[in-house]
Amino acid sequence: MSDQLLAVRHLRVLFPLKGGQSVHAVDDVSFGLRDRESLGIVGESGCGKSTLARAVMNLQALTSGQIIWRGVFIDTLKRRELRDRRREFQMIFQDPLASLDPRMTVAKLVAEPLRALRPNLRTEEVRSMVNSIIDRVGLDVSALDRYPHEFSGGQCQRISIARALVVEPKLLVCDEPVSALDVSVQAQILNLLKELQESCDLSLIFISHDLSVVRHMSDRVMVLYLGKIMELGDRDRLLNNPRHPYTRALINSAPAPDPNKERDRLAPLLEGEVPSPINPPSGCVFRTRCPKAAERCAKDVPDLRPIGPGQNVACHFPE
Amino acid sequence: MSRERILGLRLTPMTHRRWRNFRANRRGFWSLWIFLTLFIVTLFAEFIANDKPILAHYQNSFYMPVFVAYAETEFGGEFETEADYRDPFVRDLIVDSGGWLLWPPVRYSYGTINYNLPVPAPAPPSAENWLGTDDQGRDVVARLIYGFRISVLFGLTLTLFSSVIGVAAGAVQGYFGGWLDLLFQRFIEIWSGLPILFLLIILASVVEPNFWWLLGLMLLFSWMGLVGVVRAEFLRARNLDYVKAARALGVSNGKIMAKHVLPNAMVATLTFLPFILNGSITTLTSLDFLGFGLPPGSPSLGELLAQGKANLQAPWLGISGFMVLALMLSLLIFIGEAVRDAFDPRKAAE
Repeated sequence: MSDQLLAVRHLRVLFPLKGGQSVHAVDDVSFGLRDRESLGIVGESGCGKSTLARAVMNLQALTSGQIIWRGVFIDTLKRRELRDRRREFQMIFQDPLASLDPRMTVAKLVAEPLRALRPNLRTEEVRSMVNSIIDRVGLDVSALDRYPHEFSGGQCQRISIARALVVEPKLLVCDEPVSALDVSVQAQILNLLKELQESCDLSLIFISHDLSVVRHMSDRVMVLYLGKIMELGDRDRLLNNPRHPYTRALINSAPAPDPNKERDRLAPLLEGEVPSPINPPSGCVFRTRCPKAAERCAKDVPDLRPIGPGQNVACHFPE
Repeated sequence: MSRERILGLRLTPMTHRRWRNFRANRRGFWSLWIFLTLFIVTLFAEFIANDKPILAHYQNSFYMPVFVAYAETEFGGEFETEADYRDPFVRDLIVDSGGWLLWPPVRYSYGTINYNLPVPAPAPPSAENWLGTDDQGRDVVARLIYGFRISVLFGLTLTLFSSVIGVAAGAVQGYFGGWLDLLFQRFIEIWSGLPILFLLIILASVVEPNFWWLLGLMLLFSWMGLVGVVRAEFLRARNLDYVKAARALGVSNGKIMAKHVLPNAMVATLTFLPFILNGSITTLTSLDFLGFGLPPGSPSLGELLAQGKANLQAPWLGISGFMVLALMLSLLIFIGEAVRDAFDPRKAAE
């Protein structure tokens, strides 16, 4: 596919522990991302969302698998080549204040990736690029001389976005960009991201544990559980007609705006805890909490297979 | 927000709070000023204790013997060698022709021998030699002034070099971690297990040590002092969100270490510096005391202490050496404690 921007194949990240065991953070995940598409990744805490993002950003060593960025295997690139590629994919983080160095002014913070990735720019060019991006994320140029702690969380996230976009990347990985913000501010930041996606021709990988945020932001949605893809499909199909029991449970557990209408629509709430990723269940990892679990689920690992147009599910007994 | 200035430098609120905390510790604050005064005064030791006048006026022209070596013949004497202004003959030549000499308060340099002692050296304190002379007839006050200067200069230089090396080593270890860290730590454990004083003594007997040789030898071992703290700070800071963010943005490791992580480690480094300075001075003094330090004839506190030990009948040697050393080390400890408390984040400003 020519418009394929990113392809991830059989990605696996294990964190070895003492005694030969290891934490299965991301286990055999494959997906693709098209140009200007936004992919939402949802899942509970500890399901491997952030590790997946870090792996895509090449900040995390892969145990196995491949990441192909515009036809190049980026996981095997040398440091210098990787740094040249870094211009094309950038990231914003969950905690906006903590991800900004408290000792640097906003001007220096936003200019930093430019100085690192495009060292032969002149000072005036850097300044004009910083000024224009600061304006585009909705901040005043008077912000440039101030320090991060003088700003609110939403403003800090705007600074982070400016810093990520100043090098004009193709892909922006957002690791829970709004979960540390007030709800009213969340909407502003989300709309800003959508706007910028349009105007900058960005692809987004958008990680969240909030289904409504993912619904707002994504073209396609991936549901992760214990490091494995449970369901992957077009947003409307997946969220309106989930085929995997876990997706159903997840949607059902989200608070509904109108409780009278939305309740008891789908499966009952999940019970129990997420099993330990050190020793994940055999077969289907979700079977310990699945209402439909059968004997087969303990034996065979369900493959992610197409179940309808634009919808894939990893379940032996899809709804 | 208010930004205070000190010496024209813009201070961040944090630095300003630390400065106020430091000032609130009266003992440390005054120790700093006393130490600085002593240090700056002794930097000009040649103008305080010297066997040459600061200024001489002879036949309507001025001479500055402190800076320029004038031959005795300049003043109508006989020798072509440098004039000995302490010699009554030279003094008379100048004064009798209507000139005058401006002497420093102590008319002895560290190596000047007083040949006119009424008693065999070491001579007790007198109006001429305020703290007496050592066993070679040299003035103790002059030797203390020069000895203080060389100790502090040596300590400062050693501290500077060992901090630079120690911070760099700790930074690399802490930032990259893993095998590099493991191997480096084992190396440091072995290296710091070496008996330093004995090695210095052996090495000092192989080469004739001068100031720089001695500095190099001691640097071999003193750089390890800071590695531990800096490494710990880097281990902690490399997982801070903004360091991870910088890595994700593509900033190079060197830049991340210098710009984002090092400022975190500076606090730990600064709090350690006075104590490292103290340690450097003590090591130099002990080497001098044992006779393996600075070359013979250099003014050194350790050598004065050794003389005091060898001449127990002349207590002014040991006592004055001890007092100066004790004063210097105490001042440094007080300063160090005040700096440490000022940087302590748990101590809120009042």
